[in-house]
Order: sequence, then structure tokens, then C-alpha cells
Amino acid sequence: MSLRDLVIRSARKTPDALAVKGPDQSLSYQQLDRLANRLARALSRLGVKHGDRVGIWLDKSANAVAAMQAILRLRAVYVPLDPISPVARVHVIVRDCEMSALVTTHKRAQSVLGDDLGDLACLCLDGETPGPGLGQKDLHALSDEALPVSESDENEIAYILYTSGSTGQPKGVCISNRNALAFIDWAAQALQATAADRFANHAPFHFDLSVLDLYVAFSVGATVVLVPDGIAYLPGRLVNFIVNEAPTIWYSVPSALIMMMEQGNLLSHLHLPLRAVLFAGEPFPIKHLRRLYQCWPAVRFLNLYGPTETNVCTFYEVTQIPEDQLTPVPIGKACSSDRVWAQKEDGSIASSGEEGELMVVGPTVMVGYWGRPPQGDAPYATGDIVRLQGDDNYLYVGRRDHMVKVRGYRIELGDVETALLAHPAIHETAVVVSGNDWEACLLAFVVLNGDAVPSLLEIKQHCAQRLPRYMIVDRVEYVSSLPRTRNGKIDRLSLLRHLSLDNRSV
Amino acid sequence: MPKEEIMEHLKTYFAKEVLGNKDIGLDEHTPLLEWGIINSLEIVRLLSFIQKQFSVEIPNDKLVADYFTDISAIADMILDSVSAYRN
Repeated sequence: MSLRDLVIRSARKTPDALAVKGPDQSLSYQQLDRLANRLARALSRLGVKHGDRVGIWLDKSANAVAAMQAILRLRAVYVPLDPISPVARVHVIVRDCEMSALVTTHKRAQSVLGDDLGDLACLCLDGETPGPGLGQKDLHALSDEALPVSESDENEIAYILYTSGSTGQPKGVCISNRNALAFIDWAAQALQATAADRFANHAPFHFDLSVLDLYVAFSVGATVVLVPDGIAYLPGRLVNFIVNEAPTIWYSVPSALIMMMEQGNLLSHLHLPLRAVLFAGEPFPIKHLRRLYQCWPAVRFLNLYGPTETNVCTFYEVTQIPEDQLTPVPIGKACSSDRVWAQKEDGSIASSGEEGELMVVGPTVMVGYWGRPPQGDAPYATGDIVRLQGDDNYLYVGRRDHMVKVRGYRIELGDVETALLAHPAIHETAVVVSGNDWEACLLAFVVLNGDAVPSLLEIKQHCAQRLPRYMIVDRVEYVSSLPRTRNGKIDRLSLLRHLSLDNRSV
Repeated sequence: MPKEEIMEHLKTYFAKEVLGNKDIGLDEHTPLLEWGIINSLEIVRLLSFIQKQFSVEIPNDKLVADYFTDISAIADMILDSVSAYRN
């Protein structure tokens, strides 16, 4: 069994069932299967073979889903890219994983080939290809019959998700067929998913949350309805999407749900066909979750946990939220056949009531980062500090380092600071998160070298050349010095306090 | 409204609302999405500004990266949406 078999199997069983509804088109299982065959033939003509890395740089669309399937059918590895990633970022990833082809649009192909990547083969889905490769017309001339493929090994890499791009050094998380399937099988069972389900896909494809929406749906012959990129953070339109598209399963970061509750009047809709709401990526503030939970008593609420490197390795189903509870719900217990434990500073395993770093071993733990030594059977250290509760559930407590989450994206504050320090006018800086939930933004306190004061625009441009988009600072405040703790470290708490008192930032 | 005027309104908006009252270096081809001047937080504010200023609601199918790359692209999209709305 491999990841590519899910669509093929459902296409055989229920060819006319709706597989994916995207902003571009709707595809039945048979249509998705055939489009994937045609795309696979095109990529094969471009020389893509077993083990090659193929990028997908498209807006969220049914076409992009078909491209993933096509790449899997060649036993190649797909690499989804942020559709609005700056070209410079795309270049870094193309080079890091030694990409052999890119599925994209004419316009994007033009921008990416402009530099020194002239030999990257592009498959352009909306027109001619500007460089080497194939275009829309070539694609239509190809057969939609399946290509013969050899059986794939379950440990083969299926896709690479680039994450938390530390400065200049992106990290490609390599997920094998086995890694993905262990998680998908668990999720399908936990949700008791059936062909009648409609999965809403909120997360972008380069974000690991999307794996559940797509593949759990495909594994049971259900439908996945894609939330267009452009409305993902527009509360009113997102609520309209839920009302009109009538998903039965919703999975997103808590920020998106809170935003819909606060600004989109989500809770005025009491009788939606939703039967499960899943959330992950950051803690769900309990007062918001409680409101949602009380408003929709017939809906199941599941908190899923796991860094991209482990897929989902623990989960907790909400069964009650006492009125006096102030802490977020726990991340729960191990799932997906994984084993987890909390390791204390002295290396021993935490017992009930104690804290430690959450460690994970099992079938969902990544193969490794692209281009680095494989993970093997070594436990993956998440960097997350958890407490083991009396009921055997783990509770998320915080981070070991300065990593923060903003709308589910993980951000290493030190990486943002390093990028800022590369600017000649900046002498010293500390970056903090200001604001809560969906309003969270990155604020940099900056001490300058001299009299030159860079504009915010210049700072953003500077960041964009070095960091993924979600790590670009939102605001800058110039200060004469940074507060220090007694042992000389930058005093982030004092900066945050200063923030709440004073809003004179640029 | 001519495109030049729409672009002027947009430029003032970004300078004032996003860039701390400074428009140094901002022009109609500044890559707004790539440089994070429009992001998931700012898009809500931008759309409500467009709706108020130009009395047009941007349809969902126009909410894609291509129409928001820079001030010039947004102005074209607004002109398009206004004429589609009138027809």
C-alpha cells in the first residue's frame, strides 16, 4: 500500500463520486484519476523518474491536487510551495532539494526562470511554457491512461514539506508513504470517516494540516472541498463557505475558528451538517473553545498535536470543559501507533505530575530532513515542554527555545533576529509577538548603528529575501537600547510589558 | 475613476495604515505580497478599505495572488470589478 493507491482505489470503486471541489474545477474520482495519469505522462516526458523531486507552485486548486497524485504515480517526491512565495524563496528550495521539474503557471515559470535556473523543466497548466518543458496544449495531447509503475517501497519519500526555514537554511521534512499512511489510517478510524463525508481543506498544501483533509477523504472515497487561499483569513467569507459548502469535517488552526466566531458570526449558525471540528498548530484559548463547544453540542471536538516532523502523534477528544477551567485542553495521548513520553532534564522519564520535553517514536516520525542524516529509529525531540497529568494526558506547557506560533506557523524568533542583524543599519534587535490569536503579529525592537533609519518597507524587503513570508516582521520600534536581565540576556518580558503600555511603534 | 487616481488612494492607504505614515520607496510595482505588506492580517483591512473607498465588493474568484501582487494589479482588479458590477 502506498499513498498513491488511495485515489486509484476509490476511482475504481466509486468513479462518479465527487473527489475534490476546488476554486478552479470539481473532479470526480474518475476525472481526478485520469487527470493524474495525463499529468504523470507529461512529467515522465520531462524526464521525471523514481525518486526525483518535483515542485508544485500553484494556487490552491483541484489541478494542484491532481499534480500531487501524478508525481506519486511516478514514484517521485512532491514538494508543495507557498503560492505567494517570493521567487528568491522558491529558488532556495529548488536548489536545496535539487528539484528536477516544477508544475506551475506560465507567469510563475517566467519569474522563476528569469534568474539562473534556466534549465529547470516546467509543466505550465495554464498556457505555454516560457523555457524548457511542456504547456497546456502538450498536456491535452497526451493520453489519460495509466502508466505502468512498479510497486513502491513504503519507506520511499512521498512528499517534502519545507518548514520553519531557519535563516538561509530551509529544512525539508521528508515524509514517507508509511509515515503518511500511519497517520491517515488512524485519523480515518478516529473520525469514523465515510464516503458521505465532506472534508473542508483550510490549510495551504505546504502546511501539514492539509494532509488529513486530502488523504483521509481519498482513503474512504469522500469529498474534499478546498477553501480558496484568498478567503482563508476573511471571517465573513469563511463562514459563508461553511454555510454553502456544508462540510461535515473541519480542520484548521484555532486562529481561523476564533476569527470566524469573533468577526464572522459563526455561532449564529446552530444547525450545520458539521460533525467534527479538529484543531492543531497552536493552543486553543479555553474561553473561545468553551463557547464553540457549548454552542454545538452535537459536534465532536478533537485537539490534534504534532510538529510537521512527526505528523500527528497525540490527540485529545474534548468531552467536557468545566466553567472554572483556565488552561487549554490537553494534547492528550499517543495516536497513529506512535509512542510518546516526556523526558526530564536529567534524561529520565517524567511521571505523573512532572514536566519534560515530549519525545516521539513510531511510524509517523519523518525519514529525516532532506540532505541531512536520516532520523532512523531515534526518538524525535519536539522541543515542546509538556506535563503528564494524573489522567495520563499530556498538557502542553511551552517551548524549550524561542519558537513561537503565529496562526499555526512556527517561527524561531532567533532566525528573524539573525536576518534583521544582517541589515547594515541594525546594531541589535529583539523580536516579540504582539497581540493574541489571529491578531498576533511580529514586532521588532531595533537599536541602530548610526543615524540611518531604515523604513518599514526596507525592513520588510530585507526580510523577504531571507525568510519565509510568515516570518516577515509586521512592525518595527526603534529604541536606544534593549532591556537586559541580570544575567545579561535580552529581557523579553520587559519588552512585552513595554508593549502593553506604549503603542508608539512604526 | 481613472487608474492613476485609484493607485494614489491605494498608495496613501498602504503608507498610512501599514507602513507607519511613510511611503519611502513605495510605488505601483512594489511587491506587496512578497514583502509581507499584505498578509493574512492585512487582507481583511485592505478589503474593507476598498469596499468603503471604491464602493465595490471584490468577488471570491478575484481573491488570488495575481490580483494583489502590487498596487497596479490591485487598481486593475478594482476597475474590472467596478465595471463587472455596473454591468
